[in-house]
Amino acid sequence: MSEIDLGLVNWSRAQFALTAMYHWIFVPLTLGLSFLCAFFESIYVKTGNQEWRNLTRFWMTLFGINFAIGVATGIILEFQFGTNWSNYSWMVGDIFGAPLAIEGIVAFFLEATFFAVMFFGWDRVSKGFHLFSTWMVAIGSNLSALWILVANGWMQAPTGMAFNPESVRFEMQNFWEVLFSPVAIAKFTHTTSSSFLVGATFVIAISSYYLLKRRHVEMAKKSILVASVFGLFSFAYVGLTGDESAFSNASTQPMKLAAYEGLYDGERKAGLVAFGVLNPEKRAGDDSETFLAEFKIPYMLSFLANRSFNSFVPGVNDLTYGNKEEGIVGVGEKIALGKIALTDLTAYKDAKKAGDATAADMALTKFKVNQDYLGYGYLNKPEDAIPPVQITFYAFHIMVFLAVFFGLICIAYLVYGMKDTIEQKRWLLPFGVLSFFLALTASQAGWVVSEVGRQPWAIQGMLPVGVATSNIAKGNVIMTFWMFAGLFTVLLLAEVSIMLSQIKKGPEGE
Amino acid sequence: MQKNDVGEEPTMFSYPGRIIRFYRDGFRSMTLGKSLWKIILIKLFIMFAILKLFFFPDFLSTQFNTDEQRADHVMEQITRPAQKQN
Repeated sequence: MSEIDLGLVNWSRAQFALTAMYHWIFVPLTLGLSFLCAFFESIYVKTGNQEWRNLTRFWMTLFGINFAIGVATGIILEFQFGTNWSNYSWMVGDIFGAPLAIEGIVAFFLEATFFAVMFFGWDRVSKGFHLFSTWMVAIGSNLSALWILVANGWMQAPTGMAFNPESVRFEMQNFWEVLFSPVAIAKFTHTTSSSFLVGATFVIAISSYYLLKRRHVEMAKKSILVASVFGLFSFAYVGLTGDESAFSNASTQPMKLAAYEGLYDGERKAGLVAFGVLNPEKRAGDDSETFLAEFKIPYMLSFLANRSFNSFVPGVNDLTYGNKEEGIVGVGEKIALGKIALTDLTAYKDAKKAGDATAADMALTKFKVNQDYLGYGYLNKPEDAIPPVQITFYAFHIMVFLAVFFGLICIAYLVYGMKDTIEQKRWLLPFGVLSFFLALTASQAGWVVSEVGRQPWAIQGMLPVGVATSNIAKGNVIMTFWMFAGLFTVLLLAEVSIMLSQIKKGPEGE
Repeated sequence: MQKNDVGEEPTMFSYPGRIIRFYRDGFRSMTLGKSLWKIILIKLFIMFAILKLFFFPDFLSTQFNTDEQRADHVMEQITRPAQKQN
Protein backbone atom coordinates (compact mmCIF):
# COMPACT_ATOMS: atom_id res chain seq x y z
CA MET A 1 0.00 0.00 0.00
CA SER A 2 3.03 2.28 0.07
CA GLU A 3 2.21 3.45 -3.47
CA ILE A 4 -1.11 4.92 -2.37
CA ASP A 5 -1.16 8.55 -1.27
CA LEU A 6 -1.64 8.02 2.45
CA GLY A 7 -2.04 11.75 2.97
CA LEU A 8 -5.21 11.69 0.86
CA VAL A 9 -6.42 8.51 2.56
CA ASN A 10 -5.88 9.92 6.02
CA TRP A 11 -7.57 13.25 5.25
CA SER A 12 -10.53 11.37 3.75
CA ARG A 13 -10.57 9.23 6.87
CA ALA A 14 -10.34 12.27 9.14
CA GLN A 15 -13.16 14.01 7.29
CA PHE A 16 -15.43 11.01 7.55
CA ALA A 17 -14.59 10.56 11.24
CA LEU A 18 -15.24 14.25 11.95
CA THR A 19 -18.64 14.32 10.27
CA ALA A 20 -19.68 10.95 11.68
CA MET A 21 -18.74 12.01 15.21
CA TYR A 22 -20.58 15.32 14.96
CA HIS A 23 -23.60 13.52 13.48
CA TRP A 24 -23.45 11.09 16.37
CA ILE A 25 -23.88 13.87 18.92
CA PHE A 26 -27.47 14.38 17.73
CA VAL A 27 -28.53 10.85 16.84
CA PRO A 28 -28.25 8.97 20.17
CA LEU A 29 -30.20 11.70 21.94
CA THR A 30 -32.97 11.42 19.33
CA LEU A 31 -33.10 7.64 19.70
CA GLY A 32 -33.18 7.67 23.51
CA LEU A 33 -35.27 10.76 24.21
CA SER A 34 -37.97 9.71 21.72
CA PHE A 35 -38.77 6.67 23.88
CA LEU A 36 -38.71 8.72 27.07
CA CYS A 37 -41.23 11.15 25.55
CA ALA A 38 -43.40 8.14 24.71
CA PHE A 39 -43.16 6.87 28.30
CA PHE A 40 -43.97 10.29 29.76
CA GLU A 41 -46.98 10.69 27.50
CA SER A 42 -48.18 7.15 28.23
CA ILE A 43 -48.26 8.05 31.94
CA TYR A 44 -50.18 11.24 31.13
CA VAL A 45 -52.76 9.36 29.05
CA LYS A 46 -53.08 6.68 31.75
CA THR A 47 -53.42 9.12 34.68
CA GLY A 48 -54.92 12.17 33.00
CA ASN A 49 -52.66 14.26 35.26
CA GLN A 50 -51.87 17.65 33.67
CA GLU A 51 -48.43 17.75 35.32
CA TRP A 52 -47.43 14.74 33.21
CA ARG A 53 -48.79 16.49 30.14
CA ASN A 54 -46.70 19.63 30.82
CA LEU A 55 -43.69 17.50 31.53
CA THR A 56 -44.15 15.54 28.30
CA ARG A 57 -44.46 18.72 26.26
CA PHE A 58 -41.30 20.14 27.84
CA TRP A 59 -39.17 17.09 27.01
CA MET A 60 -40.80 16.89 23.59
CA THR A 61 -39.68 20.46 22.89
CA LEU A 62 -36.07 19.58 23.73
CA PHE A 63 -36.42 16.47 21.59
CA GLY A 64 -37.68 18.65 18.73
CA ILE A 65 -34.72 21.06 19.04
CA ASN A 66 -32.23 18.21 18.90
CA PHE A 67 -34.08 16.57 16.01
CA ALA A 68 -34.27 19.79 14.00
CA ILE A 69 -30.59 20.63 14.41
CA GLY A 70 -29.43 17.06 13.79
CA VAL A 71 -31.74 16.14 10.94
CA ALA A 72 -30.00 15.47 7.63
CA THR A 73 -26.49 15.84 9.08
CA GLY A 74 -25.98 12.20 8.08
CA ILE A 75 -26.54 13.09 4.42
CA ILE A 76 -23.09 14.71 4.45
CA LEU A 77 -21.64 11.24 4.96
CA GLU A 78 -23.39 10.12 1.78
CA PHE A 79 -21.89 13.08 -0.11
CA GLN A 80 -18.48 11.84 0.97
CA PHE A 81 -19.16 8.31 -0.27
CA GLY A 82 -19.67 9.60 -3.80
CA THR A 83 -16.73 12.02 -3.82
CA ASN A 84 -14.02 10.73 -1.51
CA TRP A 85 -14.84 7.02 -1.46
CA SER A 86 -16.01 6.36 -5.00
CA ASN A 87 -14.27 2.97 -5.35
CA TYR A 88 -15.87 1.77 -2.16
CA SER A 89 -19.18 3.35 -3.06
CA TRP A 90 -19.26 1.63 -6.42
CA MET A 91 -18.28 -1.74 -5.01
CA VAL A 92 -20.88 -1.81 -2.23
CA GLY A 93 -23.70 -0.06 -4.11
CA ASP A 94 -25.64 -3.27 -4.60
CA ILE A 95 -25.47 -4.17 -0.90
CA PHE A 96 -26.17 -0.73 0.54
CA GLY A 97 -28.82 0.34 -1.96
CA ALA A 98 -31.64 -1.73 -0.44
CA PRO A 99 -31.05 -0.99 3.26
CA LEU A 100 -30.53 2.73 2.67
CA ALA A 101 -33.60 2.98 0.42
CA ILE A 102 -35.69 1.27 3.11
CA GLU A 103 -34.24 3.66 5.68
CA GLY A 104 -35.31 6.62 3.58
CA ILE A 105 -38.85 5.34 3.14
CA VAL A 106 -39.27 4.34 6.79
CA ALA A 107 -37.80 7.61 8.01
CA PHE A 108 -39.97 9.67 5.69
CA PHE A 109 -43.31 7.98 6.28
CA LEU A 110 -43.02 7.14 9.95
CA GLU A 111 -41.13 10.14 11.23
CA ALA A 112 -42.41 12.87 8.92
CA THR A 113 -46.06 11.84 9.23
CA PHE A 114 -46.21 11.15 12.94
CA PHE A 115 -43.73 13.87 13.86
CA ALA A 116 -46.25 16.47 12.68
CA VAL A 117 -49.02 14.91 14.77
CA MET A 118 -46.68 14.76 17.76
CA PHE A 119 -45.99 18.50 17.63
CA PHE A 120 -49.09 19.97 15.99
CA GLY A 121 -51.63 17.50 17.30
CA TRP A 122 -52.01 18.42 20.98
CA ASP A 123 -55.77 19.09 21.50
CA ARG A 124 -56.38 18.59 17.77
CA VAL A 125 -56.35 14.81 17.60
CA SER A 126 -57.51 12.35 20.22
CA LYS A 127 -55.21 11.55 23.16
CA GLY A 128 -54.89 7.98 21.97
CA PHE A 129 -53.88 8.92 18.44
CA HIS A 130 -51.41 11.49 19.73
CA LEU A 131 -49.82 8.89 21.98
CA PHE A 132 -49.74 6.42 19.09
CA SER A 133 -47.92 9.04 16.99
CA THR A 134 -45.35 9.65 19.71
CA TRP A 135 -44.65 5.94 19.93
CA MET A 136 -44.41 5.71 16.15
CA VAL A 137 -41.82 8.52 16.10
CA ALA A 138 -39.78 6.62 18.69
CA ILE A 139 -40.09 3.28 16.92
CA GLY A 140 -39.58 4.86 13.47
CA SER A 141 -36.43 6.75 14.56
CA ASN A 142 -34.93 3.59 15.98
CA LEU A 143 -35.97 1.46 13.01
CA SER A 144 -34.45 3.93 10.59
CA ALA A 145 -31.18 3.49 12.49
CA LEU A 146 -31.47 -0.26 11.88
CA TRP A 147 -30.69 0.01 8.19
CA ILE A 148 -27.56 2.09 8.41
CA LEU A 149 -26.33 -0.19 11.20
CA VAL A 150 -27.05 -3.25 9.06
CA ALA A 151 -24.87 -1.65 6.38
CA ASN A 152 -22.14 -0.98 8.93
CA GLY A 153 -22.48 -4.53 10.29
CA TRP A 154 -21.99 -5.88 6.79
CA MET A 155 -18.76 -3.90 6.45
CA GLN A 156 -17.52 -5.44 9.71
CA ALA A 157 -18.46 -8.97 8.65
CA PRO A 158 -19.44 -9.22 4.97
CA THR A 159 -22.01 -11.93 4.38
CA GLY A 160 -24.81 -12.83 1.96
CA MET A 161 -22.88 -11.50 -1.03
CA ALA A 162 -20.48 -12.48 -3.80
CA PHE A 163 -17.85 -10.39 -5.57
CA ASN A 164 -18.61 -10.06 -9.28
CA PRO A 165 -15.44 -9.16 -11.22
CA GLU A 166 -17.58 -8.31 -14.27
CA SER A 167 -19.40 -5.45 -12.53
CA VAL A 168 -16.59 -4.95 -9.96
CA ARG A 169 -19.25 -5.06 -7.27
CA PHE A 170 -20.09 -7.01 -4.18
CA GLU A 171 -23.53 -8.25 -5.17
CA MET A 172 -26.21 -9.27 -2.72
CA GLN A 173 -27.07 -12.96 -2.80
CA ASN A 174 -29.26 -13.15 0.27
CA PHE A 175 -30.95 -10.06 1.73
CA TRP A 176 -32.02 -11.87 4.90
CA GLU A 177 -28.50 -13.07 5.58
CA VAL A 178 -27.34 -9.44 5.38
CA LEU A 179 -30.22 -8.22 7.57
CA PHE A 180 -30.01 -10.92 10.22
CA SER A 181 -26.24 -11.23 10.34
CA PRO A 182 -25.32 -11.67 14.03
CA VAL A 183 -22.88 -8.78 13.71
CA ALA A 184 -25.57 -6.47 12.30
CA ILE A 185 -28.03 -7.44 15.02
CA ALA A 186 -25.42 -6.96 17.74
CA LYS A 187 -24.48 -3.61 16.20
CA PHE A 188 -28.12 -2.44 16.14
CA THR A 189 -29.04 -3.60 19.64
CA HIS A 190 -25.85 -2.30 21.24
CA THR A 191 -26.04 1.06 19.49
CA THR A 192 -29.70 1.66 20.29
CA SER A 193 -29.39 0.47 23.90
CA SER A 194 -26.43 2.80 24.46
CA SER A 195 -28.50 5.59 22.91
CA PHE A 196 -31.29 4.86 25.41
CA LEU A 197 -28.71 5.49 28.13
CA VAL A 198 -27.79 8.79 26.48
CA GLY A 199 -31.49 9.77 26.52
CA ALA A 200 -31.89 8.71 30.16
CA THR A 201 -28.83 10.66 31.30
CA PHE A 202 -30.04 13.72 29.37
CA VAL A 203 -33.26 13.75 31.40
CA ILE A 204 -31.37 13.00 34.62
CA ALA A 205 -28.85 15.78 33.89
CA ILE A 206 -31.39 18.53 33.25
CA SER A 207 -33.61 17.39 36.11
CA SER A 208 -30.58 17.41 38.41
CA TYR A 209 -29.79 20.94 37.26
CA TYR A 210 -33.34 22.00 38.18
CA LEU A 211 -33.06 20.35 41.58
CA LEU A 212 -29.74 22.09 42.21
CA LYS A 213 -31.39 25.39 41.28
CA ARG A 214 -34.56 24.43 43.25
CA ARG A 215 -36.70 25.09 40.19
CA HIS A 216 -39.44 22.89 38.70
CA VAL A 217 -38.79 20.44 41.53
CA GLU A 218 -41.87 18.25 41.09
CA MET A 219 -41.37 17.94 37.34
CA ALA A 220 -37.69 17.11 37.84
CA LYS A 221 -38.48 14.40 40.41
CA LYS A 222 -41.11 12.80 38.21
CA SER A 223 -38.76 12.89 35.21
CA ILE A 224 -35.94 11.36 37.23
CA LEU A 225 -38.07 8.42 38.31
CA VAL A 226 -38.97 7.47 34.76
CA ALA A 227 -35.50 8.19 33.35
CA SER A 228 -33.70 6.19 36.04
CA VAL A 229 -35.94 3.13 35.48
CA PHE A 230 -35.42 3.43 31.73
CA GLY A 231 -31.70 4.02 32.28
CA LEU A 232 -31.38 0.98 34.50
CA PHE A 233 -33.08 -1.30 31.98
CA SER A 234 -30.93 0.23 29.25
CA PHE A 235 -27.81 -0.35 31.35
CA ALA A 236 -28.64 -4.06 31.67
CA TYR A 237 -29.53 -4.24 27.99
CA VAL A 238 -26.35 -2.44 26.91
CA GLY A 239 -24.31 -4.90 28.99
CA LEU A 240 -25.96 -7.92 27.35
CA THR A 241 -25.65 -6.50 23.85
CA GLY A 242 -22.05 -5.43 24.51
CA ASP A 243 -21.27 -8.98 25.53
CA GLU A 244 -22.91 -10.21 22.34
CA SER A 245 -20.83 -7.74 20.30
CA ALA A 246 -17.60 -8.98 21.87
CA PHE A 247 -18.69 -12.58 21.32
CA SER A 248 -19.30 -11.93 17.63
CA ASN A 249 -15.98 -10.02 17.39
CA ALA A 250 -14.19 -13.13 18.66
CA SER A 251 -15.24 -15.07 15.56
CA THR A 252 -15.52 -12.34 12.92
CA GLN A 253 -12.96 -9.70 13.96
CA PRO A 254 -10.53 -11.35 16.39
CA MET A 255 -7.90 -8.67 15.68
CA LYS A 256 -10.27 -5.98 16.92
CA LEU A 257 -11.00 -7.99 20.08
CA ALA A 258 -7.26 -8.48 20.68
CA ALA A 259 -6.67 -4.74 20.17
CA TYR A 260 -9.34 -3.54 22.59
CA GLU A 261 -8.20 -6.07 25.16
CA GLY A 262 -4.52 -5.20 24.64
CA LEU A 263 -3.84 -8.91 24.11
CA TYR A 264 -0.62 -9.42 22.14
CA ASP A 265 0.13 -13.04 22.99
CA GLY A 266 -2.89 -15.28 22.85
CA GLU A 267 -3.57 -17.65 25.72
CA ARG A 268 -5.91 -20.19 27.16
CA LYS A 269 -7.78 -19.18 30.31
CA ALA A 270 -7.22 -15.59 29.21
CA GLY A 271 -7.99 -12.89 31.75
CA LEU A 272 -10.02 -9.79 31.07
CA VAL A 273 -8.12 -6.52 31.57
CA ALA A 274 -10.37 -4.54 33.89
CA PHE A 275 -7.81 -1.78 34.14
CA GLY A 276 -4.51 -1.31 32.36
CA VAL A 277 -1.88 1.16 31.26
CA LEU A 278 -0.38 0.06 27.96
CA ASN A 279 3.32 0.30 27.33
CA PRO A 280 3.46 2.98 24.59
CA GLU A 281 6.65 1.41 23.16
CA LYS A 282 5.03 -2.00 22.69
CA ARG A 283 4.94 -3.26 19.10
CA ALA A 284 3.72 -6.52 17.62
CA GLY A 285 6.41 -9.19 17.61
CA ASP A 286 8.70 -7.58 20.16
CA ASP A 287 9.46 -8.90 23.64
CA SER A 288 8.62 -5.79 25.63
CA GLU A 289 5.95 -5.84 28.31
CA THR A 290 2.45 -5.05 27.07
CA PHE A 291 1.30 -3.22 30.19
CA LEU A 292 3.01 -0.84 32.57
CA ALA A 293 0.22 -1.65 35.04
CA GLU A 294 -2.76 -3.93 34.77
CA PHE A 295 -5.53 -5.58 36.71
CA LYS A 296 -7.03 -8.70 35.17
CA ILE A 297 -10.09 -10.78 35.99
CA PRO A 298 -8.83 -14.36 35.51
CA TYR A 299 -10.46 -16.60 32.87
CA MET A 300 -13.03 -13.98 32.00
CA LEU A 301 -11.83 -13.05 28.50
CA SER A 302 -11.83 -16.71 27.43
CA PHE A 303 -15.36 -17.04 28.74
CA LEU A 304 -16.66 -13.84 27.13
CA ALA A 305 -15.00 -14.58 23.79
CA ASN A 306 -15.82 -18.27 23.46
CA ARG A 307 -18.20 -19.12 26.33
CA SER A 308 -15.53 -21.46 27.72
CA PHE A 309 -13.12 -20.67 30.58
CA ASN A 310 -10.36 -22.84 29.11
CA SER A 311 -10.59 -21.69 25.50
CA PHE A 312 -7.80 -20.03 23.54
CA VAL A 313 -8.13 -16.35 22.69
CA PRO A 314 -5.71 -15.30 19.93
CA GLY A 315 -3.63 -12.17 20.44
CA VAL A 316 -2.30 -9.61 17.98
CA ASN A 317 0.89 -11.64 17.48
CA ASP A 318 -0.96 -14.92 16.81
CA LEU A 319 -3.21 -13.26 14.25
CA THR A 320 -0.38 -11.34 12.61
CA TYR A 321 2.31 -13.98 12.47
CA GLY A 322 0.20 -17.14 12.72
CA ASN A 323 0.03 -19.85 15.36
CA LYS A 324 0.32 -23.38 14.01
CA GLU A 325 -0.56 -25.02 17.34
CA GLU A 326 -3.91 -23.24 17.36
CA GLY A 327 -4.42 -23.52 13.61
CA ILE A 328 -4.26 -19.76 13.01
CA VAL A 329 -3.05 -18.63 9.59
CA GLY A 330 -0.84 -15.56 9.79
CA VAL A 331 -1.35 -12.37 7.78
CA GLY A 332 1.86 -13.08 5.83
CA GLU A 333 0.33 -16.19 4.28
CA LYS A 334 -2.91 -14.36 3.58
CA ILE A 335 -0.97 -11.55 1.88
CA ALA A 336 0.72 -14.13 -0.39
CA LEU A 337 -2.68 -15.60 -1.34
CA GLY A 338 -4.14 -12.11 -1.75
CA LYS A 339 -1.34 -11.13 -4.13
CA ILE A 340 -2.12 -14.22 -6.23
CA ALA A 341 -5.81 -13.22 -6.27
CA LEU A 342 -4.85 -9.69 -7.29
CA THR A 343 -2.59 -10.98 -10.08
CA ASP A 344 -5.39 -13.24 -11.36
CA LEU A 345 -7.87 -10.38 -11.22
CA THR A 346 -5.45 -8.20 -13.18
CA ALA A 347 -5.00 -11.01 -15.72
CA TYR A 348 -8.80 -11.27 -16.01
CA LYS A 349 -9.09 -7.53 -16.62
CA ASP A 350 -6.29 -7.52 -19.22
CA ALA A 351 -7.73 -10.57 -21.04
CA LYS A 352 -11.17 -9.00 -21.09
CA LYS A 353 -9.77 -5.77 -22.45
CA ALA A 354 -7.90 -7.72 -25.16
CA GLY A 355 -11.13 -9.57 -26.02
CA ASP A 356 -9.59 -12.95 -25.15
CA ALA A 357 -12.59 -14.75 -23.60
CA THR A 358 -10.72 -18.03 -22.99
CA ALA A 359 -7.90 -16.35 -21.10
CA ALA A 360 -10.44 -14.26 -19.15
CA ASP A 361 -12.34 -17.41 -18.09
CA MET A 362 -9.13 -19.12 -17.03
CA ALA A 363 -8.00 -16.09 -15.01
CA LEU A 364 -11.43 -15.86 -13.41
CA THR A 365 -11.38 -19.52 -12.39
CA LYS A 366 -7.96 -19.03 -10.82
CA PHE A 367 -9.07 -15.81 -9.13
CA LYS A 368 -12.00 -17.55 -7.45
CA VAL A 369 -9.64 -19.93 -5.65
CA ASN A 370 -8.12 -17.11 -3.58
CA GLN A 371 -10.71 -14.35 -3.87
CA ASP A 372 -11.48 -14.48 -0.15
CA TYR A 373 -7.97 -13.13 0.47
CA LEU A 374 -8.20 -10.35 -2.13
CA GLY A 375 -8.05 -7.57 0.45
CA TYR A 376 -4.82 -8.91 1.94
CA GLY A 377 -3.19 -8.58 -1.48
CA TYR A 378 -3.10 -4.81 -0.95
CA LEU A 379 -1.09 -5.06 2.27
CA ASN A 380 2.68 -4.94 2.15
CA LYS A 381 3.57 -6.57 5.43
CA PRO A 382 1.74 -8.50 8.17
CA GLU A 383 1.87 -5.54 10.57
CA ASP A 384 -0.32 -3.53 8.14
CA ALA A 385 -3.29 -5.60 9.36
CA ILE A 386 -2.97 -4.36 12.95
CA PRO A 387 -5.29 -1.52 14.02
CA PRO A 388 -4.05 1.25 16.33
CA VAL A 389 -4.00 -0.77 19.56
CA GLN A 390 -3.61 2.10 22.03
CA ILE A 391 -6.59 4.11 20.72
CA THR A 392 -8.81 1.02 20.48
CA PHE A 393 -7.83 -0.22 23.96
CA TYR A 394 -8.39 3.07 25.77
CA ALA A 395 -11.60 3.89 23.88
CA PHE A 396 -13.00 0.49 24.85
CA HIS A 397 -12.06 0.82 28.51
CA ILE A 398 -13.38 4.39 28.75
CA MET A 399 -16.68 3.14 27.29
CA VAL A 400 -16.91 0.24 29.76
CA PHE A 401 -15.94 2.32 32.83
CA LEU A 402 -18.50 4.95 31.94
CA ALA A 403 -21.20 2.32 31.37
CA VAL A 404 -20.62 1.05 34.91
CA PHE A 405 -20.79 4.63 36.17
CA PHE A 406 -24.18 5.11 34.45
CA GLY A 407 -25.47 1.93 36.07
CA LEU A 408 -24.51 3.26 39.49
CA ILE A 409 -26.02 6.68 38.74
CA CYS A 410 -29.31 5.13 37.63
CA ILE A 411 -29.47 2.90 40.73
CA ALA A 412 -28.74 5.85 43.04
CA TYR A 413 -31.30 8.08 41.32
CA LEU A 414 -33.93 5.35 41.36
CA VAL A 415 -33.44 4.52 45.04
CA TYR A 416 -33.41 8.14 46.20
CA GLY A 417 -36.14 9.00 43.73
CA MET A 418 -38.42 6.29 45.13
CA LYS A 419 -37.65 7.39 48.69
CA ASP A 420 -38.37 10.97 47.55
CA THR A 421 -35.07 12.16 49.00
CA ILE A 422 -33.25 12.87 45.75
CA GLU A 423 -33.65 16.61 46.30
CA GLN A 424 -31.64 16.40 49.50
CA LYS A 425 -28.76 14.46 47.96
CA ARG A 426 -26.94 17.59 46.84
CA TRP A 427 -23.64 15.67 46.52
CA LEU A 428 -25.19 13.35 43.94
CA LEU A 429 -26.82 15.94 41.69
CA PRO A 430 -23.61 17.29 40.05
CA PHE A 431 -22.79 13.69 39.04
CA GLY A 432 -26.22 13.52 37.46
CA VAL A 433 -25.54 16.70 35.48
CA LEU A 434 -22.17 15.32 34.41
CA SER A 435 -23.62 11.95 33.40
CA PHE A 436 -25.08 13.21 30.10
CA PHE A 437 -21.75 14.56 28.86
CA LEU A 438 -20.05 11.34 29.90
CA ALA A 439 -22.76 9.33 28.12
CA LEU A 440 -22.02 11.20 24.89
CA THR A 441 -18.32 10.51 25.45
CA ALA A 442 -19.01 6.80 25.98
CA SER A 443 -21.18 6.66 22.88
CA GLN A 444 -18.44 8.26 20.78
CA ALA A 445 -15.83 5.96 22.34
CA GLY A 446 -17.95 2.98 21.29
CA TRP A 447 -17.76 4.09 17.66
CA VAL A 448 -14.02 4.64 17.98
CA VAL A 449 -13.67 1.02 19.14
CA SER A 450 -15.84 -0.16 16.28
CA GLU A 451 -14.24 1.85 13.49
CA VAL A 452 -10.61 2.33 14.56
CA GLY A 453 -10.55 -1.29 15.74
CA ARG A 454 -11.39 -2.56 12.27
CA GLN A 455 -8.60 -0.69 10.50
CA PRO A 456 -7.10 -1.10 7.95
CA TRP A 457 -10.34 -2.43 6.49
CA ALA A 458 -13.20 -0.57 4.88
CA ILE A 459 -14.76 -3.99 4.28
CA GLN A 460 -13.31 -6.60 6.60
CA GLY A 461 -10.71 -8.70 4.78
CA MET A 462 -11.94 -7.56 1.37
CA LEU A 463 -11.11 -3.91 0.85
CA PRO A 464 -8.57 -1.82 2.76
CA VAL A 465 -9.46 1.83 3.37
CA GLY A 466 -6.56 2.93 1.15
CA VAL A 467 -8.02 1.22 -1.92
CA ALA A 468 -11.54 2.46 -1.20
CA THR A 469 -10.70 6.13 -1.77
CA SER A 470 -11.18 8.20 -4.93
CA ASN A 471 -8.23 9.49 -6.86
CA ILE A 472 -8.92 13.16 -6.10
CA ALA A 473 -6.78 16.10 -5.03
CA LYS A 474 -5.82 16.03 -1.36
CA GLY A 475 -6.26 19.81 -1.14
CA ASN A 476 -9.98 19.49 -1.86
CA VAL A 477 -10.43 17.04 0.98
CA ILE A 478 -8.50 19.26 3.39
CA MET A 479 -10.58 22.30 2.41
CA THR A 480 -13.92 20.51 2.82
CA PHE A 481 -12.70 19.01 6.11
CA TRP A 482 -12.42 22.52 7.56
CA MET A 483 -15.72 23.58 5.97
CA PHE A 484 -17.48 20.73 7.71
CA ALA A 485 -15.69 21.45 10.96
CA GLY A 486 -17.03 25.03 10.74
CA LEU A 487 -20.57 24.08 9.70
CA PHE A 488 -21.00 21.44 12.37
CA THR A 489 -19.52 23.65 15.06
CA VAL A 490 -22.04 26.37 14.18
CA LEU A 491 -24.87 23.81 14.28
CA LEU A 492 -23.68 22.48 17.62
CA LEU A 493 -23.45 25.99 19.06
CA ALA A 494 -26.96 26.70 17.74
CA GLU A 495 -28.26 23.55 19.42
CA VAL A 496 -26.56 24.28 22.72
CA SER A 497 -27.72 27.89 22.69
CA ILE A 498 -31.39 27.12 21.84
CA MET A 499 -31.44 24.17 24.19
CA LEU A 500 -30.00 26.20 27.09
CA SER A 501 -32.44 29.00 26.48
CA GLN A 502 -35.35 26.53 26.53
CA ILE A 503 -34.03 24.80 29.65
CA LYS A 504 -33.74 28.16 31.41
CA LYS A 505 -37.36 28.92 30.52
CA GLY A 506 -38.41 25.51 31.78
CA PRO A 507 -41.83 23.94 31.19
CA GLU A 508 -43.57 27.32 31.43
CA GLY A 509 -41.65 28.51 28.39
CA GLU A 510 -43.11 25.77 26.24
CA MET B 1 -66.91 10.25 14.06
CA GLN B 2 -65.83 13.78 15.00
CA LYS B 3 -67.83 16.64 13.50
CA ASN B 4 -66.05 19.54 11.80
CA ASP B 5 -66.11 23.21 12.76
CA VAL B 6 -69.60 23.79 11.34
CA GLY B 7 -71.07 20.66 12.87
CA GLU B 8 -71.00 18.48 9.75
CA GLU B 9 -69.73 14.93 9.79
CA PRO B 10 -66.60 14.67 7.63
CA THR B 11 -66.93 12.88 4.32
CA MET B 12 -64.17 11.05 2.46
CA PHE B 13 -63.61 14.18 0.36
CA SER B 14 -63.19 16.44 3.39
CA TYR B 15 -60.13 14.56 4.74
CA PRO B 16 -57.52 16.17 2.43
CA GLY B 17 -58.79 19.60 3.45
CA ARG B 18 -58.63 18.69 7.12
CA ILE B 19 -55.09 17.43 6.74
CA ILE B 20 -54.02 20.60 4.93
CA ARG B 21 -55.66 22.75 7.65
CA PHE B 22 -53.96 20.61 10.31
CA TYR B 23 -50.53 21.33 8.86
CA ARG B 24 -51.32 24.99 8.02
CA ASP B 25 -52.58 25.78 11.52
CA GLY B 26 -49.74 23.81 13.05
CA PHE B 27 -47.13 25.82 11.19
CA ARG B 28 -48.92 29.10 11.95
CA SER B 29 -49.04 28.42 15.68
CA MET B 30 -45.37 27.55 15.97
CA THR B 31 -43.15 29.75 18.15
CA LEU B 32 -39.80 28.08 18.71
CA GLY B 33 -40.56 25.85 15.74
CA LYS B 34 -40.25 28.81 13.37
CA SER B 35 -36.62 29.37 14.37
CA LEU B 36 -35.94 25.67 14.07
CA TRP B 37 -37.42 25.54 10.58
CA LYS B 38 -35.21 28.50 9.58
CA ILE B 39 -32.16 26.58 10.81
CA ILE B 40 -33.27 23.46 8.94
CA LEU B 41 -33.80 25.36 5.69
CA ILE B 42 -30.49 27.26 5.94
CA LYS B 43 -28.73 23.98 6.72
CA LEU B 44 -30.34 22.20 3.77
CA PHE B 45 -29.48 25.11 1.49
CA ILE B 46 -25.82 25.04 2.54
CA MET B 47 -25.70 21.26 2.21
CA PHE B 48 -27.42 20.83 -1.15
CA ALA B 49 -26.99 24.15 -2.96
CA ILE B 50 -23.39 24.80 -1.92
CA LEU B 51 -21.61 21.74 -0.56
CA LYS B 52 -23.13 19.10 -2.80
CA LEU B 53 -23.17 21.25 -5.91
CA PHE B 54 -19.70 22.78 -5.72
CA PHE B 55 -17.63 20.54 -3.46
CA PHE B 56 -19.09 17.05 -3.52
CA PRO B 57 -19.81 15.94 -7.07
CA ASP B 58 -20.32 12.22 -7.49
CA PHE B 59 -16.86 11.33 -8.75
CA LEU B 60 -17.82 8.39 -10.98
CA SER B 61 -21.01 10.01 -12.33
CA THR B 62 -19.21 13.18 -13.40
CA GLN B 63 -16.12 11.49 -14.83
CA PHE B 64 -17.80 8.69 -16.78
CA ASN B 65 -20.94 8.27 -18.86
CA THR B 66 -21.77 4.59 -18.54
CA ASP B 67 -21.73 1.97 -15.82
CA GLU B 68 -19.32 -0.05 -17.92
CA GLN B 69 -16.82 2.81 -17.93
CA ARG B 70 -17.27 3.25 -14.18
CA ALA B 71 -16.69 -0.45 -13.58
CA ASP B 72 -13.58 -0.35 -15.77
CA HIS B 73 -12.24 2.62 -13.85
CA VAL B 74 -12.80 0.97 -10.47
CA MET B 75 -11.21 -2.22 -11.79
CA GLU B 76 -8.16 -0.19 -12.85
CA GLN B 77 -8.02 1.36 -9.41
CA ILE B 78 -8.22 -1.86 -7.45
CA THR B 79 -5.84 -3.81 -9.65
CA ARG B 80 -3.26 -1.06 -10.02
CA PRO B 81 -3.11 0.75 -6.68
CA ALA B 82 0.25 2.17 -7.76
CA GLN B 83 -1.56 4.42 -10.22
CA LYS B 84 -3.33 6.16 -7.36
CA GLN B 85 -0.29 7.99 -6.13
CA ASN B 86 -0.81 11.06 -8.29
